[in-house]
Amino acid sequence: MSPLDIIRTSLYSLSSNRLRAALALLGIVLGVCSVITLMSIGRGSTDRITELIQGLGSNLLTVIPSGEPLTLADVDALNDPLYTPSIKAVAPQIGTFGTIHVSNNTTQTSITGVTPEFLQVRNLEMATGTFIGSPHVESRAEVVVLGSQVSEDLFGNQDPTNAEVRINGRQFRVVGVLASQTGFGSLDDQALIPITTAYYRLSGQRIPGGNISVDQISVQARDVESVDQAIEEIETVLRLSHRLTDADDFTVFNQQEILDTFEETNQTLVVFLGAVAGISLLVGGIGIMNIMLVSVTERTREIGIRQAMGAKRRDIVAQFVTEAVFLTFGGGIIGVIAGITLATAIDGRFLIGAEWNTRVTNDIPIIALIVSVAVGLFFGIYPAVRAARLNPIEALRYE
Amino acid sequence: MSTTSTKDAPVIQIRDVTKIYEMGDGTIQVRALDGVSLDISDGEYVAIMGASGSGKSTLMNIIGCLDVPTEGTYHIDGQAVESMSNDRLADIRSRKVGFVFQTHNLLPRLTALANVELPMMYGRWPNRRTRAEHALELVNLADRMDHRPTELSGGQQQRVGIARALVKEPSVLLADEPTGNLDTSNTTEILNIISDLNHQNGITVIVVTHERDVAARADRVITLSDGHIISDETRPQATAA
Repeated sequence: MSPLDIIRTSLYSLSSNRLRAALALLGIVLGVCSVITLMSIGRGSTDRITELIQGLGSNLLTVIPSGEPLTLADVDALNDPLYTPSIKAVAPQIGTFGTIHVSNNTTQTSITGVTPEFLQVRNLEMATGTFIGSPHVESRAEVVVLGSQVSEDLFGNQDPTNAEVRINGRQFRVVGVLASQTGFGSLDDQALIPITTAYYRLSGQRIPGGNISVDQISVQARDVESVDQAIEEIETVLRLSHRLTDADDFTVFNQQEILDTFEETNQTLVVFLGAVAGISLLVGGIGIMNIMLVSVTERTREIGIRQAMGAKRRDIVAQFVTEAVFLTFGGGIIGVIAGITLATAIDGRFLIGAEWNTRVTNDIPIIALIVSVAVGLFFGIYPAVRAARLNPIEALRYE
Repeated sequence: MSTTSTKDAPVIQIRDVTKIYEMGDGTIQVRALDGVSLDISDGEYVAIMGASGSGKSTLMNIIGCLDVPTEGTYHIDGQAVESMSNDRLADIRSRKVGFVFQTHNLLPRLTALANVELPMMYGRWPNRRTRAEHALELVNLADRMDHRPTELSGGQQQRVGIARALVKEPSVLLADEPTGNLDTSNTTEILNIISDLNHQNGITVIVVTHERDVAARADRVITLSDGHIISDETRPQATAA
């Protein structure tokens, strides 16, 4: 029997009971559809979390004080390329809250004192104007860069560059507006001013020795690979400059570690979702086997006729297995289309109190199709072998 | 026709064939055939008669290679069947035996033409369509090729069954009660076609029947009873009729 004849014969048999074939197909459709949808949701949420964290830069390290305050002297020490070859940029910051006022509009927001390096370290982009420059820091200039949300709250759609605003009663000049960003620690709702201005003009606290204390230092490693090296360099430099002999009085946070933890957790979730969906595919496969067994019994006489006409066992096996594989492959294709449609439809939507993010990758549909064909083979073989084992004489006599 | 066999060698050669069925859990043995020997030559028209339970169905199953004897030997076209595997038996069926059934046994959703093509599919024959068309012409169904069995009369269905049996030019056309389900006029028609195939095309025909007038068409009538051949009569004058 040629492959074409096998295919033709199987299609003939399937078409003889269309409703039953469709119902058997439905089990596979639902199984494959749920595999694709759930896997896409899993992938999508992994992406989302990764995106949120990577918005900060995956080679970003954060140093915060846990005892002695960190100062601009520490920042200078970390900036020495001789001792810290793995560090690309260092950006200290001071955080405070303030009220920004312009004509009739007022908004409460966090005001962060920064240096020019902040732009690079935090991967920021300007919507309009310029960022805070070194002369601003040196002269403790009263200039401000607004986050996009703050700008919109105060100025609507107008370009606020060079406009005057009042922050905690002091007059500041707007030099630029940040481009809107999504992600973890978005600065849309913040205003940035020179770190010296923040320290001397807005912050009440002073430390002895004339040094400027900072709340945290963001350190950008040269690349993702040099993160570990950078951590060591930070620890060495800060222990030296703080003259420490025992425990550190600062803590270094590694963005990559947080990211890894999130990704690991999410990977587990993806596998779990896939397994749950896989069970429904398995149930679909059992449905196929059930239908095929009924079909073998019902078509006993047909099998007898085919055997009398010279069909070998392998011809009968091939016919029934091909039928089962057609069912699961057809169901797989419909399921893939339905799954991709569903996954695309819910992407970015707000449903049942949560935002859904999905990502359909090429491998998921391909795997789902291969699995559905395998399900057809696996659950089709037993009924097919039963059909082929029928005794032709009894099969012909079967009513 | 069967070019593989020499002129004298019989198409069907059965020697001391015994078939024992075990009933229940092997405690009861039924001897359906008991030491049957039989030769059928190329071009013969043979009727096998007998009451129900006489063993004629068992003999037909063995001749049709659907079953193998418990003891004895059976050669079809010189090939020993008794020791063949299931797949070899299927192969012999697809090439050597053309079955005509009482209940025509056509596949209901296939057209007449596709039904006739069916046995050639398993033998991987070339030019299936042309051969099938030709076979349907032989049984006067050239204008019904695209009809499904349900759209045909009982006699027409049986003619499709005959076309299906003879399409692969079998060594033997094996008809099991071919007119059992037909009325008188259709019976005459079917028997005429079978006679013509035997007389004009030289096809070896074996008809299994319990009806005297069906058997009367044959040149040779073999009667079975209790698993034995009780008579084997050849009537040369029937050839002239």
